[in-house]
Amino acid sequence: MRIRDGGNLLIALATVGCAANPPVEQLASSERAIAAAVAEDAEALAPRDLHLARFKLDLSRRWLAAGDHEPARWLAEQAQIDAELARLKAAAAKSGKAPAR
Amino acid sequence: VNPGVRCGILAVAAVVLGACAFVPRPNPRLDEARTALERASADSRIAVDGAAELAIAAEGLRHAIAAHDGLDDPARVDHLAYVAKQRVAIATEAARLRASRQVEGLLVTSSADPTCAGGKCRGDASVAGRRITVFPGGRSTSP
Repeated sequence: MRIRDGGNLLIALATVGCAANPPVEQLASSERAIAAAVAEDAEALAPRDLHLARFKLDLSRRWLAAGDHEPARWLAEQAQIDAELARLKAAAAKSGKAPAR
Repeated sequence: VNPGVRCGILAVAAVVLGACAFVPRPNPRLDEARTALERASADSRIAVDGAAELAIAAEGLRHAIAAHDGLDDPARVDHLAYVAKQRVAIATEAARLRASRQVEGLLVTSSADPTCAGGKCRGDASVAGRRITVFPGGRSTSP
């Protein structure tokens, strides 16, 4: 029984060890991407993508708080890319409208 | 049943089941990303104006396929496929943004160009795109 517990502990440690470094930098770049999208008026012009980015950033922080770094990293990466798409959509929408006026 | 026959049946079953375990299951997210990339690449406007972004998307899809073929964690394959799909969407938007900025640039120059009657140029985006690439200044508005 003791040996089995030790084995389980080892497996648990190995699993945690694999995803050791928390995606702090990734979270920071996701935040910057969201800020850039907001600056491009994505709030009004690409609300769905911006919402998705914020939702995933929030989820990512929760996984991070729970100590599970791999899904936290994935979600932060997705939040960044969703925010980049939101920024481009907003920029394209603005640029498309401008000559018509 | 003859023990030899039974043993043979078990061996065949083991091989069949074993083979199944080593064949990647179809992944709908991966298929979505692949379809999106193929569709975007077939669109000449995206293939030209979003070439750089499309190349990054293709690289992302290759990562996802490699992870899938390598029997990686399906959740990771899903993640990589999602990123690839979003990169295709980014390429599409980047191409649209560049095209509209080129049209904008043309409209500014068209007022000074007597050969270009406003409405005609405005409607013909592909002509506009080709015209502007002639002038290096037209590119400078792209990000």
